[in-house]
Amino acid sequence: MKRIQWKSFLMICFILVVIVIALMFHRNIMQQDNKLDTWLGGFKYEEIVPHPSGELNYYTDYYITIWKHHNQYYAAVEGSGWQLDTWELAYVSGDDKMIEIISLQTLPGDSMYGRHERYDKGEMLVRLERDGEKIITEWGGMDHHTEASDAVRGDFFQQVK
Amino acid sequence: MKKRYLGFLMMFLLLGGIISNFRMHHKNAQHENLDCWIGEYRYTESFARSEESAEEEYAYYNITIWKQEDGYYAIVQDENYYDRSDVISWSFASVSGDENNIDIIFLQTLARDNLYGIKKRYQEGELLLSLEREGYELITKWGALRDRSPNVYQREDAVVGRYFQFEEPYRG
Repeated sequence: MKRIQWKSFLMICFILVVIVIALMFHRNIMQQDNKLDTWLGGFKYEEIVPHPSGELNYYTDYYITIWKHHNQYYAAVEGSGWQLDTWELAYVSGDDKMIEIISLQTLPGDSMYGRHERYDKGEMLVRLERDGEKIITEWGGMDHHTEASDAVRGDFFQQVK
Repeated sequence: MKKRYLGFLMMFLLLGGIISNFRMHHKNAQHENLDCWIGEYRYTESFARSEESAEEEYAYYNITIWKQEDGYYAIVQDENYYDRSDVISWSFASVSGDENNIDIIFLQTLARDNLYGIKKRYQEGELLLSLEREGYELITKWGALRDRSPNVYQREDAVVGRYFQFEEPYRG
């Protein structure tokens, strides 16, 4: 009788330990998953490029929309305007301080769709970093008109929503 | 004595395996082959702002459908211009169905939407619209998205018809 009670007690302890470990593991994953929640929303950059003649300007709009689905973070990257017609699906990785927007696939509606991918899968398109209240952009492979070498990193995208 | 412990352990592992398998199956449940629906669909409608005004305004609708590892998804966009202000809606949706018919089902409101951060535009799981192939024709059956259409919203007989059309990719 005592032996049976001891066995039952050990089995219950074993099951409880497994449950606690599983809960801790699950909680750790959830905490990691929620780290990017601060980046959910929309980021916009409007660019004005003067024509060489100086008589008119070209306007280009960039928009990054970030959402969460099944504990993964995704982004729709748009660039529209002068010589730009980007419509790209990307995934988001990073933490609450910095994220990278990584190319997944060119979407229908992009002018290159059906011919070839605008970017290589896995290519880092742009990096956004929080610096206090500001957001610092570091351009990666994403098409843009900013060509000056000292403009690879700076104040470009701002969170609008 | 050892056999009993082994028995408990195997039961536990079997249970864990069944639960994991169930979750994987649930994730893959919508993996019908919908590759033929991947692409862009557009609809543009014109309407008079009021009965007194002859001025026409326009509403533009766009659906982008793509495939990911865990299924087919869509972004459903529209832009209406009421009283000269942009009214923009953007929804992330899942796509399910078969090669002849798909349902586009609302998942969440995206940041481009005017209502983002205020409230969800639709209920998660709500049917936005269905698309059906009849030969070479594409038939739209409006669901919850009909509230975005000034013409469709007012008419009972316009729930099903030829609205969205497939956009051929740009070939250069």
